Amino acid sequence: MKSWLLALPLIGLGCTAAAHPLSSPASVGTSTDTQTTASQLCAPLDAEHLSAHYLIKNEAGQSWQIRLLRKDRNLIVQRLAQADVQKQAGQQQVQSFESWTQDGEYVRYFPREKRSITYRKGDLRALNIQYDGDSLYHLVPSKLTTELEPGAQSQQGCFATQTYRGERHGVSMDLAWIPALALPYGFSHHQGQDALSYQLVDASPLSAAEFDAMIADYQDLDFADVGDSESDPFIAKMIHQGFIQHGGSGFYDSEGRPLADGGHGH
Amino acid sequence: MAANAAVLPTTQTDSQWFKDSAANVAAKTQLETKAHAKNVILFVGDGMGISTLTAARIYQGQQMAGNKGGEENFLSFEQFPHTALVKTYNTNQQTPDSAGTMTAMATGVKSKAGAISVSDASLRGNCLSSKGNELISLVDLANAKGLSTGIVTTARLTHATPAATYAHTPERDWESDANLPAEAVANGCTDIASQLVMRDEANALSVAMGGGRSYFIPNDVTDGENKKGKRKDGQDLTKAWVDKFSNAAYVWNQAGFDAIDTAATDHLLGLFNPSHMQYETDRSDDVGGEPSLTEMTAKALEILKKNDKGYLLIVEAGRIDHGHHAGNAKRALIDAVELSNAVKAAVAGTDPDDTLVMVTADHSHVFTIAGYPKRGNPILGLVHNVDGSLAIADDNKPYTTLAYTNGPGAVEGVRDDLTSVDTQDKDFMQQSLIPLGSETHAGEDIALHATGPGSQLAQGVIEQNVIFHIINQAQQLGGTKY
Repeated sequence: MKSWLLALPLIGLGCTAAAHPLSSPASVGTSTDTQTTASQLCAPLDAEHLSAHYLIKNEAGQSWQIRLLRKDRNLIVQRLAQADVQKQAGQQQVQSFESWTQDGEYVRYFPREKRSITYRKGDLRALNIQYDGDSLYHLVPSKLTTELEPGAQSQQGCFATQTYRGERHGVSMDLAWIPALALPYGFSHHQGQDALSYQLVDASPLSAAEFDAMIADYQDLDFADVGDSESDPFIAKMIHQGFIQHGGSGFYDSEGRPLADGGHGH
Repeated sequence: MAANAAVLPTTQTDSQWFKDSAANVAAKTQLETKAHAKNVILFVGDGMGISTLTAARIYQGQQMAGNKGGEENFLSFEQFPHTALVKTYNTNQQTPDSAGTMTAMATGVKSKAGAISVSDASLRGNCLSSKGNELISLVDLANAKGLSTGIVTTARLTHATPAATYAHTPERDWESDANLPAEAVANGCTDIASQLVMRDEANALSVAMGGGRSYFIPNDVTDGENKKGKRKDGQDLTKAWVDKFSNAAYVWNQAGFDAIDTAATDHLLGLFNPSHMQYETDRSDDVGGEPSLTEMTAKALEILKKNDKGYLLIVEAGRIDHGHHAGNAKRALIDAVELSNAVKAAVAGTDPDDTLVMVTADHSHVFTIAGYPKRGNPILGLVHNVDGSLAIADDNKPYTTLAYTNGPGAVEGVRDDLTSVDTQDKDFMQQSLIPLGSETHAGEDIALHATGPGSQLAQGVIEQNVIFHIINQAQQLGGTKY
């Protein structure tokens, strides 16, 4: 796997040649080298073959990151707590990441063990797990661009953005949308004391081969077979650590904490 | 003592219950069953315990116009004339797995959990220990007699239940070469998928249909449903099937299935999904399209019936088990009903004088039918008392008739109030007691239903391996004296 995350300005290690530098408020991509080469780095990105990296903060000041990788309509999502970011900086593998295929399959990958578990659509339904493919693909519901009030257009680094603002179901939202990528440049919502913000940190091209390499050579288990596989030490460990569904949504972050909404997790 | 209607009151003898059951018994007194069968069809509902049969028959009955509540319904095979109870334990487990149970049915010998038609002397996952302990299966015997053989399943063809009919391995998980450890390779064990295909034509299956395509194709090949294969040895076993056998065909989707000319096809391999086939209720969502269990059974019979000597067909409804493991009763019940449909089609398409049809399960599940719901209460619904009122538990909340002892629906902390929940939705997960990642098998006996020549051998409480001997005896396969 290309180790581009190591070069993220966020953790102070410079910028890859392929990455699109971003301006404030992401507060990244400000090194002299990056600024001087910005124009040559703004080659068009293919919205269906890219890697986008977001910083997420909540009202308590906690932050974590998401990397969204697209190949056609297939997704890989890595959720990184700050501790995970440090691990990656030290070239240690995160405990798990997940993917969604264009056919609606959800796959949980465990890099350390080179094992994966595939939840097919029927399994997800049988587990009563709902997911919103549109929100997964765009990180936010794309219909926000029609439901919120449009505002100013502007250039943010390499990206032409359209802002939107409004309220939905009692939640105030601000969205800076990159139409070319069908992704947010920035997004924040707050309701009472609760607040959450996303900020694009970095976006770069991702070839199909790079995408495929991230999920190659995993020994996969169909979730339907978990019931017949509890003698498998890997499955036993995953169950013990809470990675295998029981009672909750069935989706967990890289530390085994349950995610509330079917893998969307935010 | 013979019933003497003259001494019974008319309120008794005029009862439809009385009349129907008297007619039933009278018919049994006239029953004559031949000893030997030309053909045998064995249906296995994976995980289809007796509570599943009861719930599925009520579920099906409640879908029927003019039903009287649904409880009066019978699944298609529940009125077969002969029945037995079957003990399912493995040699090393009180509550069994599918590998050991199907090994018992396919070979006449009980074995360990995880073992695929190798004896108990083998160590699970140890190739060397299995050498010399391979067991001859019904398929081997039937082929040796010149019969045609077929396997149909909605699970992967390489999954434990179908695998035990044709493969021999000490580890059910060795489904493709990518799953073989170094010890297995060094000691000459081969994967289950290759054992299905790489057979002499004389011992080849005439029909093999189910899921599990990815175990048959190389890991650098993407299939028609955009999924990569798993094989590391570069072998395309679907191609090998077509190359090895006469008048062979391989299909992977509904269109290919529909186009099969059964008159011109003597060896049919159908792999309709990279992994297990869809639950019946989700089948219409499949990317490539999949045939139903009923359609596959009928197609298999068209090919097998071409052999004048007869055939052995084994049909598994593999996903009843998975629905239960997920704690999702509706999917399990719909798949059980589909098995009933497949049996009905098989019976309709065969001669009862020459074909033994048996329906059984490999094991049960911790699936319960509880409370005191009124007659006709929706089987997937909340319990309503005989007076129509909602039954309330001691926590002041309603509860469903169907539940599990353990599994993903476990109540942790305060139990959900189901008052406004649609418990009949296909995605509803039944509540359970013990939290487990996956609901478990259960250890009680399961049923065997039989009709046709030799079916009278299904009686009493039997060990599961007796099923092999019933088939061997009825079809004169030569595995023992008869």
